[in-house]
Amino acid sequence: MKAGWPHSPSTTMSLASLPRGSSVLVALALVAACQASPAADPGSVVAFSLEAELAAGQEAHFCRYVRMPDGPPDQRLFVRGGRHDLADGTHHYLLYRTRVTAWADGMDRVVPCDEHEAVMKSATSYVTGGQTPHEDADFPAAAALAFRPGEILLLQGHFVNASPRARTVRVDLALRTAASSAVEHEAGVLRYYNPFIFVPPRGKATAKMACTLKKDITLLSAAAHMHARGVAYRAYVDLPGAPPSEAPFYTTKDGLHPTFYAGFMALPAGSTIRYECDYENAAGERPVVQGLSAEADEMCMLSAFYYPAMAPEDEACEDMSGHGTGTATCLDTVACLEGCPVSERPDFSSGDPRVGACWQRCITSSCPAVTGALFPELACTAAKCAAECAAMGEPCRACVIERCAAELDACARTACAP
Amino acid sequence: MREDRVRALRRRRFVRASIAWSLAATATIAASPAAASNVFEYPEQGSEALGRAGAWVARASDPIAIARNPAGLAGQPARGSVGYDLALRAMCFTRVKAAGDVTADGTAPGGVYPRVCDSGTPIPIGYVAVAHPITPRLAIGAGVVTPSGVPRTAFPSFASGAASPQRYLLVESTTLMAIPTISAAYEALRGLRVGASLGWGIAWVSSSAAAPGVIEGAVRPADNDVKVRVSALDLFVPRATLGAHWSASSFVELGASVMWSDAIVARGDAVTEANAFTPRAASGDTSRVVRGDTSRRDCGRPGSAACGDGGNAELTVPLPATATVGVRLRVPRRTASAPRDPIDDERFDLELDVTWSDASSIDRIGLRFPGALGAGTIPVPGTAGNLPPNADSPRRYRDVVGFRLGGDLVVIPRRLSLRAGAFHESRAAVPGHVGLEALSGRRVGLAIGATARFPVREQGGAIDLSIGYLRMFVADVASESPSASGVPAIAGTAPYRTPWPVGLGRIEGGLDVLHVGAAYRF
Repeated sequence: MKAGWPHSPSTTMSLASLPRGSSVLVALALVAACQASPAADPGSVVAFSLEAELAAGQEAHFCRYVRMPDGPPDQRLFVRGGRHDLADGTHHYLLYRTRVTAWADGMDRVVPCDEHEAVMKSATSYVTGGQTPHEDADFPAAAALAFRPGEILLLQGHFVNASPRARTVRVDLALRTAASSAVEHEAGVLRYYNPFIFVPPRGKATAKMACTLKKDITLLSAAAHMHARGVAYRAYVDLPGAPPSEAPFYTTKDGLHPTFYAGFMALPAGSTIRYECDYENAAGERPVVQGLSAEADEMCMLSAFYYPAMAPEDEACEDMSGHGTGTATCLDTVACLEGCPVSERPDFSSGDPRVGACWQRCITSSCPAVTGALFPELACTAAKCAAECAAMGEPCRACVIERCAAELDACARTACAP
Repeated sequence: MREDRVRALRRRRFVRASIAWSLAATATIAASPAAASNVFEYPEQGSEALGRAGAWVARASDPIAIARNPAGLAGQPARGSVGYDLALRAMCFTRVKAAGDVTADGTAPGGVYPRVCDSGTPIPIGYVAVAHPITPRLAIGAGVVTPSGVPRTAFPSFASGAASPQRYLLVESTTLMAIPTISAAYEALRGLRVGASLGWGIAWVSSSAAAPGVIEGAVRPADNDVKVRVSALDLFVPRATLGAHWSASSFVELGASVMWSDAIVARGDAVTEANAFTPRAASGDTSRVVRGDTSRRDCGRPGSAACGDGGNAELTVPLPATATVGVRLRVPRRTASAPRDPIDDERFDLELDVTWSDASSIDRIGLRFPGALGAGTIPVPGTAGNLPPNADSPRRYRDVVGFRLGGDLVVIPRRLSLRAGAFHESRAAVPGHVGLEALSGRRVGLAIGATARFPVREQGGAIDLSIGYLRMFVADVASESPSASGVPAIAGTAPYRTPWPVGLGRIEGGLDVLHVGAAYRF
């Protein structure tokens, strides 16, 4: 689809379960209010909306639960396209799937919901979103997103009121449904979120990330997301056995209003999608890192529709790699991370995208080959040495050497290109 | 559905009804309101004219002169005539895949696709005209004429189980046009006649073709191609014809005419079909086809209002001006008399015409989708794209010069005349830069015909019954180098044109025309 549908890192293993996307692109305004979920009517429109009051100068996230129409439990509901309209003051919106299975009175009320609010704990992966004021598109090739009848979703809006007066902000989203007999392919959403960005004061930097596909897919779209300091974006595909591509299949130079890739790119299993975000922090007095604030932080995301749908963890790229843009070896990077405050350690498995600035600096200072070996080692540490590594020190090191020897050895053997 | 569209347009624009039209409607106007050497037509309408291969401008002895040389009305007897043509066109296209064409359709760049042919059902086209002398030197005429073209073309949507290779140029089209015409002619000097006709053309076009949704490498047409049918109506296509006819002597007559017509600028709507070129659709299962319709307020996409009250497509087809001059040698049966009536007056005649057509003015088949709410806003349901605001398809034609030689032999005085003729016209097409809308190669034609006269009154009343046959041989139009330039496909995403041509290959064709006609001399 032309309008990007956002990305949000969902979860999974340690480092891989990235942030639930926060900012993002697309724009969908959704649906109705949802107390009583109407019966599914293939071929109709399901509409949701989100409205809130924003004080002058306020930046905030608001959410409300919405619900897909009911239907027979064994009959999924398909969405073949949608439209969103975002009122002034809307930075972006996202529509998330959730873990919530039962609807309760009052769930449709609008509540604050930045990434640390309780309501966001229920969100898993986003299915669409946007940041352009208006977008309207269908999936090509008779592809459609599948939902459970009555599925409870979370509509999140990120709003910024730069005006001197309070204003009402609003997101409207309309999802077009289709009968299952009209669907050729079940679509999915790639939600790649790079948690490691470090842009020095008065400097420039590039954030990179790579993800290798486990199954054959056809890519239908790709959309970038960056914040205000993003100046360029490139996405590449490296086919299995082929040298890294030097020609991006998608570029944009506008971090706030990116263009989109639309096409039909057949990618066999083993293909690697790489993407890069360039930032300039020329006037900044402090480093800029990955974070949720559209004003203070940056993001580097790739969202893409594709078919056939894969498992959620594959859509979020739990095996991400290729973040480093420096020269530090894997062991140097481990040492660098050991010097970071424990409080900054990420907890991706919880879906929390927060990563301390120290961590981000260490990871981005590594050479490109490092994170492919480092993240398995960190995952092993989180799984097998959680208690010992609650604080850095000799017990942690001893545990890792004992229980994660293979991963540590792989890290030590990872070479950086000269 | 069509009635709904028509109602919608009428509400908005009074008389202009609308019809559906489709996107890539690049193609097609099978017939146009012109005369000599028009690339869209064959020579030429009229019982006498067709049987003489169009060599008729200096004869102009039938009411159909209102369309061919109105000066010929002066001096004619009061007469009405009617005629019908059944044009049987053979047109085949063997496409060569361009070197830069990255479409993943199983054919390598430079490869040759299966040959496909037009299988459109013939539609008879006809005319009715009357000539009425006011005085021996002044006459008026009126009628409804039509272009001497081929109204319907139908290429396949699939060939050998895959999307048909010509689909970006044309799938199907039907063009209907009628031109109510009035004329006046006056013999200003002895034997020198001048005349003029004004026509009010009404044209309806329905044409479909395919358009790739995105312009990307290695994309399968089954995923990417959208079928678009545009139907549009133009209720006013002005046309003017000026003519002169000079009976220089009892044995020599000269004729000349010039015809100008405005372009067809038709307003209508488009019906789009995403997923129409899939293997599933080829098998007849259209359950995955997603339809859009710009005549509907929501464009066929629930929740949208982008199409307003319809009338979202504008089709423009330039119509070339034509000019003809001719000289006719006649052997009179007796001293020329008024009214002019060669079957009564002549033993035989022989005419040579030179024709010219401004075919180079056909520089595009124009198609715009301005949209009800602004340019570029009409969605194509089942895709992420919109109808391109400008879907003009470029064309390159060359002016056409033709020669026609024909004559009549009155084998039974006042009862039976036989005729024959031949013509040659230069190639109009710039190979690779034309579509399948016309037989635009070099043309050679042979024609025969006859008129039998049956007197019904002692004072000159008579019924004429005519038949005619025209065979037109058309040289192939070939641009078979994969690296050649040519007509691009109209695409659904910016810049809305494929960077590779889709009209390379060989266009073969020929035409047979059967004619029947009748006239009544009062």
